Amino acid sequence: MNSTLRRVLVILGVVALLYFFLVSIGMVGASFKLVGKSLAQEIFGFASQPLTGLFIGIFATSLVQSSSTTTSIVVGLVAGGMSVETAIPIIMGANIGTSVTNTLVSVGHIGRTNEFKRAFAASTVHDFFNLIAVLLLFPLQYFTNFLGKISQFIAGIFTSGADIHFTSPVKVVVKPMVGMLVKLLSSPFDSKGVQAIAVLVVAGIILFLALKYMTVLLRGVVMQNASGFFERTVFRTPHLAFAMGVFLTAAVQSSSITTSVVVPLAGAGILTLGQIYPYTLGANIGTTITAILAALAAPENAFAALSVALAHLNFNVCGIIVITAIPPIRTVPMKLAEFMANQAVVRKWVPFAYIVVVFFLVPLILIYVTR
Amino acid sequence: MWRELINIWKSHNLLEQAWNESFEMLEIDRRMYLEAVRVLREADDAALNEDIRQLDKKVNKYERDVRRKVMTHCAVEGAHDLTSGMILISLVIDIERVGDYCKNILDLAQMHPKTLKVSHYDKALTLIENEVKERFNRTIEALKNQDVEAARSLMRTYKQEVGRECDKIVEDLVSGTCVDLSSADATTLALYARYLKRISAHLNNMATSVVNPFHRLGFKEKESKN
Repeated sequence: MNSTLRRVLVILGVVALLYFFLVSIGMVGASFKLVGKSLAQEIFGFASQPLTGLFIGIFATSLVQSSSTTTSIVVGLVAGGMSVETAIPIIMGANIGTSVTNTLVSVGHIGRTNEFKRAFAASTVHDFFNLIAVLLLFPLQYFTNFLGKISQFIAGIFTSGADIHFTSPVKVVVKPMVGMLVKLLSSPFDSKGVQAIAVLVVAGIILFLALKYMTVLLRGVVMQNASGFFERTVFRTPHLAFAMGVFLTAAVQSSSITTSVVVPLAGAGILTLGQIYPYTLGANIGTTITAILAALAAPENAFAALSVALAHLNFNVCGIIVITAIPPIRTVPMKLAEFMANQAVVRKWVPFAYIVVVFFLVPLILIYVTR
Repeated sequence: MWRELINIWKSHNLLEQAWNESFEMLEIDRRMYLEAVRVLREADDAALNEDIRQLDKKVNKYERDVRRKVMTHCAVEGAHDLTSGMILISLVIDIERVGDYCKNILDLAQMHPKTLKVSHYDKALTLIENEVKERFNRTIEALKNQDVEAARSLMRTYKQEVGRECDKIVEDLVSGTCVDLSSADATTLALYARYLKRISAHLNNMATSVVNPFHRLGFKEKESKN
């Protein structure tokens, strides 16, 4: 197959998968419309405790290893009736959960001590940054809902005000397919609750698969020409490394991929921890584009859906400002990552315990305790 | 900054850049070889037209650069270019060794500043030197064009045209058959013949990368059973 034809097929594939991704978001919202707003809010009651929401975000994202999946589902849930305030802690948790992938990648280097030390530090610097950002911003969000307020203000600019019905061209294209699929999946069942569950399950499967294969295709296209971007010279300034993180992650729509790619390079000593740190911050920003895309397809409550998508972006922007603006805090993620890497090379059980405890055990216990 | 990012996007990928650098390394090796041979065989002093030691440092720097680029390329773009990357890593080791042997010839020239007189070996030695020089050009072309037949021809004739001739000189010197050379000339000639053989052997290894699969680099081509 010649390269032009291949490129055209890939572009068509990405467009088709993007369409189904947006359809799935519409279906999530539509499924809650089926059961009515009051029941939907009752269902979302389990996450109304911000701490529970935060740990659900960590646990769910660690399981699917994609913050884009979690945040897109949350956008769909907000379109279906979940409040923005309830959704934001889940989004914050998703930011932490997504960093499990590159940490798992670094464990692949465990057989070679020095290589593993560098790789593990390069992967956990992302974890520590996200954990510190949550530690600093979650209490502020809890008491002031500042992220909700800022995001609603910005969303208001785009949607011309909170109460005005927002009709995006994307929604116009997506709506007929959502309607058809919801009708098709609801018809075999009499109960509205069962209909909603059927639509939600199929929407989840479509969303997961569409995002997964869209990322695979985009990775093929973007990364095929991207190796030049990972030359040491490109990472020579923090600003360039940061821009690279934003650009590549937005193009691939997966921070898990772009942050995992640099782990072997850190292991091999090609990139340093100081070069990778700003790049991962850029990846945090780049990954927020998926939820913003998802918000464009929200069938109802488009303003709220866009607000929560923007909250993801604002949370990461605020995290970067707060952590990098204060010199003593700026280097803390790197110091913690180096400390953890030193521990991990001495005690080989440390990385495994770290992954299980931080990403699965603690969130699961705290979901149970705070529910 | 954006212009820089766009330029990187438009540039060749790192593996292509690394291959181009390996050709530049080989070209430097060729220059080093010609200069080292000139100083040893034609000059009456150890003065250099080109600073070979600086060139050798450049080859070493290229080797590190190629390794980094191949590693980065394979980590970012996945396994589909793994074979090409691994062949290149193996290739630059041979190229770097050739550089080392050229430097060794230069060391000989400096320890033996007068023109090397090799009595009745002169004709054979000149033939070997010219053959090695020719092999540099042919190897570079075979690699650049991935010309299997040209590479096969280099592999087929290596033993007969260089290896065996060099061994013959060394055997004569070590066995004491040759008595008309001073100990300084004899020692220099033995080492020189050995270095020429090694340079040619490394060029041969490079040629095998065009013909053989990765696991058979540096070995003879496996004959087909059919």
